[in-house]
Amino acid sequence: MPKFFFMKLAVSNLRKNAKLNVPFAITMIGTVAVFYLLTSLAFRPSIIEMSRTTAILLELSSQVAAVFSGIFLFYTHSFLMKRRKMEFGLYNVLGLGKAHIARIILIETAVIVFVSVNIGLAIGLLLDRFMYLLLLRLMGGLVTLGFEVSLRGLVSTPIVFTIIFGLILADSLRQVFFSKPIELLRGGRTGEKEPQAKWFLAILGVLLLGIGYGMAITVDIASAEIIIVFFMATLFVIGGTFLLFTTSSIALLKILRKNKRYYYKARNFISLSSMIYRMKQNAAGLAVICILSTSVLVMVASAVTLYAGLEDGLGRRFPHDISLDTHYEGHIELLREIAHDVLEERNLMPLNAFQFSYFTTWAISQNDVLNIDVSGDDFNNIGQMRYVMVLNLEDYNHWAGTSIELEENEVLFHAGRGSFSHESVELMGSRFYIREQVEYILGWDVIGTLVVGTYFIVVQNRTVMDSLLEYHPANISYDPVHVRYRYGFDIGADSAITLAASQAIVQEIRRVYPYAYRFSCHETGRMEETKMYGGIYFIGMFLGALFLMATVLTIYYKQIIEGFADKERYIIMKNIGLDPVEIKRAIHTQILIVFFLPLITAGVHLMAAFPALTNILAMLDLQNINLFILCTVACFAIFAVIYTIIYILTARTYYKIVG
Amino acid sequence: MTILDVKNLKKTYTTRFGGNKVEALRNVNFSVEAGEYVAIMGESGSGKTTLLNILAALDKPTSGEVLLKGQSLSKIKDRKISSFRREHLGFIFQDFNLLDTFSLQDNIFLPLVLSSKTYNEMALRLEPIAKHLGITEVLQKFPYEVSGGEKQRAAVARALITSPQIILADEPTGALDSRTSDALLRLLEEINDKNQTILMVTHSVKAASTAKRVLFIRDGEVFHQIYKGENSTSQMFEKISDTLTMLAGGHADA
Repeated sequence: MPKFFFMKLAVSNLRKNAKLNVPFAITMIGTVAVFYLLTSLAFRPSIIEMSRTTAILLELSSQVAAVFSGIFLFYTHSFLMKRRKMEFGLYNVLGLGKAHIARIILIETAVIVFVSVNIGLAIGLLLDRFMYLLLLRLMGGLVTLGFEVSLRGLVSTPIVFTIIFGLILADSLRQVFFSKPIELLRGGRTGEKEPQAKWFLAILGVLLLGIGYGMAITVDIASAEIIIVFFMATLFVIGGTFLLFTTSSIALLKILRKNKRYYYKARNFISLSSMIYRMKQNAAGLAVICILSTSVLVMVASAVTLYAGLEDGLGRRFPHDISLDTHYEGHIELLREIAHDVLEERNLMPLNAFQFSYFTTWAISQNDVLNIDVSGDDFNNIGQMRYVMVLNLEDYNHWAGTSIELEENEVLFHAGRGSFSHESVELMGSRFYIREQVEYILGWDVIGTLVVGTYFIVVQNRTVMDSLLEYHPANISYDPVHVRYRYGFDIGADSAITLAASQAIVQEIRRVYPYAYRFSCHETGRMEETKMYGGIYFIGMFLGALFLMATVLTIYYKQIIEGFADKERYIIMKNIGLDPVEIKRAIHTQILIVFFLPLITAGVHLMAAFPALTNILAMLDLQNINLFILCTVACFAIFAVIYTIIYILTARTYYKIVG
Repeated sequence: MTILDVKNLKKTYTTRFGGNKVEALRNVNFSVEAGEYVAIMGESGSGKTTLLNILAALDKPTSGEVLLKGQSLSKIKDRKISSFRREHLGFIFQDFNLLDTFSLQDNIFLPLVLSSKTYNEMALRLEPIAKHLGITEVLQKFPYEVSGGEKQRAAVARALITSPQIILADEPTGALDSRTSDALLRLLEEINDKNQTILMVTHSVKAASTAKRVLFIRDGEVFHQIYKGENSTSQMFEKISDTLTMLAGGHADA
């Protein structure tokens, strides 16, 4: 055979199947670029230096991207193979041996991989600098100059994608080698059965979805338990979505079909019967698309909201520019002096200075008893775990500007974001009557404690506090509870000056005074959180884009493959006297439904998830619900616009195929 | 009464770039009377498919006209052509052309549904037809669940249910084995006995021998025709065979 025969054949095949190959190659290029960029950023020294967490998250994401790309490319490639079976069968009949066909496939695959990996890497390299700057900017870092090429990315990207394609190739070859020519010739034309409506499963689908929705909507837990509830709800909804698409939808359509007056109308007759048929072939795919879309939306909307809302809660998490904690009351004076000295050097003054004493403890909340006898295992039952902060009335009144009076056995109570509906509370062996549930209490600034519910309890005075501290639980397994003293103030300068001053104070205290319990600085907090949320935001957008790309391509292929099958059907309809206009109308309705069903369902899922997500974000101290609504709606809108553009492109190709 | 009148029909195809012209039909003239059963025979490339497409209003002639009950097909507006086909013509195809998304019953109902008939009316019409064709039992099944013979009978039922003026059958036995073919041909004869006009295009001598008249076309012209008259089907079979032999030999004096 001529030297370049196979090469020619392979290349002309690729060109001939452009309708299928081009989108596939574009997706490949996209996934390659995404993988390269994530790898490149994850191992960039400046990023690692700025935030290890972000670097680790980036690396994890690159792995997620690799696995996802692998599965996804494998899946879409199987579409391509299905279309081409007939072609291979023909070659086989024409006298090309299976080995020859394998060679053609090999060359084709090699060409696709070579082209798309190179273009993908080129795009990756081009975008590298831009993405790096974007990430730095989001993380609030300083821009450095210079062009970096990630050797690691350049090496690992081709390796990863060659492996992925090796697997895909192996599967294609398996299909060719293990089938008879006649089977290949028949290819995709094996008769499809009409789907069975399994009533039990159909109802189960609706039920699961209902339970999932119910859980997500009604959940009102102010602790980490909500994550578990949300996770459960997600599982229910995924199961429900799957059943809903695969059986409930078909069951519904069949009920409609049973209604003879409705069904035997020209308008409904064709659409309804084709929809039943179409749902069977597409249901699983549509369910996957729906779930994927929902997760993209949840992920991106949350990431955007967290980033955008960072400033919003900063004042709550870091109520003062600086606050310093120590275990020794007598050392407060020393801390004050150090801080003042540092500030004086910079011509600054402490403002709104304050100090108060408090102690904190973990406790298990059972009815009205807060049991501080906590062992490590109890943390598994995070729903009952509470963080308790005890203050005294004098400090509270001073702080809040109130003049409340308490008896020895009375307390003021604040249940954080949760609720505590008992008349009295038992804490550390003593019972207190709750005089008043107070609204606002001293700002608390540890995000970690937001994950579990936090209770604030104000007791009559230091004496009561001290007597509580004499309580020793039988088998306490961690540090005994101590009183701590907090001293804090504001600086009142602009952000950069405050940040520098805060850092200088912390540094100086660390040097002179090693006993400080902890520091909390508004500006340092802002910086740290910007780094963290900026990274999450960036990764959310990146993976979101990847998933979106996958979603879109899946739908595109589904429609194209169906176009080929539908073509015959529409020719038949035309033959027996169906108006082409009617046919077009029927097609239009169907594509519209198939295309937008997952999007609409995803939208509904998102709405149902909203209350639970609000609670979860509240744990990360995002309390601006309006912001969350805005971000979610914006994300959904952008998603829908992209989706619609793809729909228009797909529909155009589809009509071209159907003719 | 004349149902179908084909006058001076001519169809010329031009290749894509306007180069070569191919004359598929040169000058075709014939007419079909009500209640007739006519077979059109010809080899591949003789123009019989083109003829059928024009008769079915799927294609337009270059010149000449086709009159169905006096109405010229080419004068029907494009907008109306589909409903015209649906209401006046019945089709039987070689590969059945049943939609796999519909049960047999719904396939049969399709043309009626499009003409906005009620379910009861459709059911009423279907009952005797289904009974006659012996498909009452399988009506609720889907095309992939039944045999080729049953599929073709369902297709016949679909053609009959609109009580068309003429049934156009395109190689109806082409995809059937000989036993099922025989059964189908008998069915067509029976339907014809009930005064249904049938025009069949085929190159099966056996199929053609059941018709009352056979037209032969060659190179785009009606070349010859024979009537069955009092002949039996087997005698007709022989006459057709002889004619075909002569046609192949280039003589035309039968």
